[in-house]
Amino acid sequence: MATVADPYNVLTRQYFANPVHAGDLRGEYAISALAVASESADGAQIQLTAGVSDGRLQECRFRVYGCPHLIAAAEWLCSNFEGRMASELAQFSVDDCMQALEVPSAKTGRILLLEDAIRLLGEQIDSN
Amino acid sequence: MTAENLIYLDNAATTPVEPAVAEAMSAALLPGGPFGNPSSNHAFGRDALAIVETAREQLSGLLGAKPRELIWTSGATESDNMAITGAARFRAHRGKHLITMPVEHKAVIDTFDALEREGFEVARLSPDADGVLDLQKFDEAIREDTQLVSIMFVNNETGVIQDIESIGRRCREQDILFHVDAAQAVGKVPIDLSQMPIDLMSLTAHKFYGPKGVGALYVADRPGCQIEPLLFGGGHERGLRPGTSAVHQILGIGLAAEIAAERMHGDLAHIRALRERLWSGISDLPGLYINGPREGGFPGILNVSAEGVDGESLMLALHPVCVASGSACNAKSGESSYVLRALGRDDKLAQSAIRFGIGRHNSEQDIDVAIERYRKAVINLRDMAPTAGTA
Repeated sequence: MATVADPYNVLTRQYFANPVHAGDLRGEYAISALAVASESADGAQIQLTAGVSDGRLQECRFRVYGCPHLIAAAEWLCSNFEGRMASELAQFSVDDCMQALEVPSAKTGRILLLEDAIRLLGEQIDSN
Repeated sequence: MTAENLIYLDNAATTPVEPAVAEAMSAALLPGGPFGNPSSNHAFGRDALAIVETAREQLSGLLGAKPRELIWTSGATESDNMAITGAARFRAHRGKHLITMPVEHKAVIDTFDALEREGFEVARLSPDADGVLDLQKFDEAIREDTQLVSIMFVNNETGVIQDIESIGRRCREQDILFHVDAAQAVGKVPIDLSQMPIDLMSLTAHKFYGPKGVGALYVADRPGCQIEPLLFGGGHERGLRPGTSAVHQILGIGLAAEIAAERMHGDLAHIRALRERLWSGISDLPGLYINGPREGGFPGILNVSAEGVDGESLMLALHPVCVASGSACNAKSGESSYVLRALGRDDKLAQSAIRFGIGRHNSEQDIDVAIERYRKAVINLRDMAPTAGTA
């Protein structure tokens, strides 16, 4: 019998069901940066916040209005980059994220939205 | 295939086959069953023909129609195509003006689009904010060359019930054929075609606990109500739908119709109570909007939009409750429902819509789980929404 793929893979479902990084920063940091990016086509919006001390991303948080893949991608980002150097944000790869979450190509725009927010967040951190 | 803990609240998309129907259909396919061709002039053929004609009587009994007024088809989409295209072409020499609404099912909308490409002129009358056709607007749209009107009985997304009686009466007075897509109505709300001014009516079995792949077109047995066939290849079904009859499928629709006739009033009371329970359980959440009538529509459909919530995320968060979203028909394109937009909903509200399709097999417990999941999902997704403006 043919199988029909679930549109959400296991990791996407896990991150969507348990987005532990959703919300706002809880601690106080030398630098608290915030960036927002939105997509005019369907109103999807992402807000990233980062608490940085000694150049390190001590805490990453997100807020999202959008589809499950965007929520999961934001959680994936925060889970993977929290604790790393802020400069490493530049290493975020749309391809890696889409591969990990098996995001359909039709939703590439959503992940590019996340990329926009990361770039803006990096600029905010650098400007401090 | 399906996990036992899933809750099915998408009965407007399709319904599970009633066990008695499935058993009878299965038995018909087994060795010794009525495998003959109903057109054959021997015992095997006569056995099969008896099943086909019994089913026609069962369905006509549900609808108050004469058996010979029912043509077997593969479902409502085929019936819609056959009725609309067949009627428009048959009457083309008298006029080429047709009337419909933009909230119809795609099977109707796309058929009118195709006719427009053939040279017909189509008026698409927008509904009011509740989804109902304004009869004054309808009267104004009728022209001397109007030949066909097609309006659905129960809207598949909102549950809105149109004033079929008044629309049909106006059509009769002006010698205009009236087609009704009743896919969501048959077997669920009372229909008496012996009294209602309907000329052509489409239906499908799988919306009333019958099998997929079989439906019917009602063609009123009255002067002037004629359509051109779309298919050729034999004289089956009054020459309108050639091809060997799918005996076991037809057996299934007939039995499903008989069961629906017996259960209709009980089913209606049951789903009305469940709808009320569902709405009562969520309506205190701020920023919710019912798409369609608060009361007076088909109670098996409750379509609700929620401000500040993405529909796709809401649908996933409702797990294990299976429903349809406002973008269900356009999931790949991500477009919101054209029906809800025709009701004046903006893209975001239309996109946040969830259609609960309540059926005869749903229980109060199903509804309570749906309430609990919906409340939690809406609150959580709103809590997760951005609070800052765009940079």
